[in-house]
Amino acid sequence: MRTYEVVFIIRPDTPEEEIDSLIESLQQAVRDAHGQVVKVEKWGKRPLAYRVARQREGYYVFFELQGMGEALRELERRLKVAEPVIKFLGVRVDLERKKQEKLRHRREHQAARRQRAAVPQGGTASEAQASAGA
Amino acid sequence: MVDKPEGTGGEGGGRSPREGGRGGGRREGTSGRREGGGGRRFFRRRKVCKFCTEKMDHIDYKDVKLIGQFISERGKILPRRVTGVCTPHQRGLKVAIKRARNIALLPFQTTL
Repeated sequence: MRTYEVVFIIRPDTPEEEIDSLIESLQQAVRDAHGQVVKVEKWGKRPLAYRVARQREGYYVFFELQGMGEALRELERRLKVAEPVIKFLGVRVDLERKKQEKLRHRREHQAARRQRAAVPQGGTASEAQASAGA
Repeated sequence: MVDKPEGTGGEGGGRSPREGGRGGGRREGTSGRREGGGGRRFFRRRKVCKFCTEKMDHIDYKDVKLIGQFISERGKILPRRVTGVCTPHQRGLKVAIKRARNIALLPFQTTL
């Protein structure tokens, strides 16, 4: 199972109901492709850093989905053909997150060890436990 | 600050002739931290990697406020020598900036 983040931009003049129905249909498409959308965020209208499809601002929507490549492929295909969508970006994030987790773990480990080293042998058992928990 | 009193230098005998030849009575403690030549220079604060000090492993492309600090007025990625970011973090930053550009969160180029 992989995790992907997808951000897409909808034309700013699209009515709100249409955006909602589009998001719903896209979620359904992901589900049909054996994936699931675990997070949906509507960032709303923000200015674009450059003009896209002659627009200066866009309605940003963020998806986080879990599934295999076919789920992402299907979603991106839909985004490509959807009329109001002007730009999208899909990124795989699970590997980076795993790496991040590992680094964080290691850091915590090292911090705990350093603390234990700082406390001399005389430290009581409860003290050692407290430092390990920190 | 860099100068150390006589005797603690630790390399008293091993001074290179070049070093001894200039500066008169001035003597540096360790040759590795010597200030650039030309005598008195204004003190420049050592730049430290912002991401290291904040212990960030991952730089998110969605965090425009953070990433935006590392691009120039024209939208270029600032070099490490300007920002002081360490190599691994500059690499992550590069990826984040390029992703952000791709979805119009950051400009590819701006005209002044």
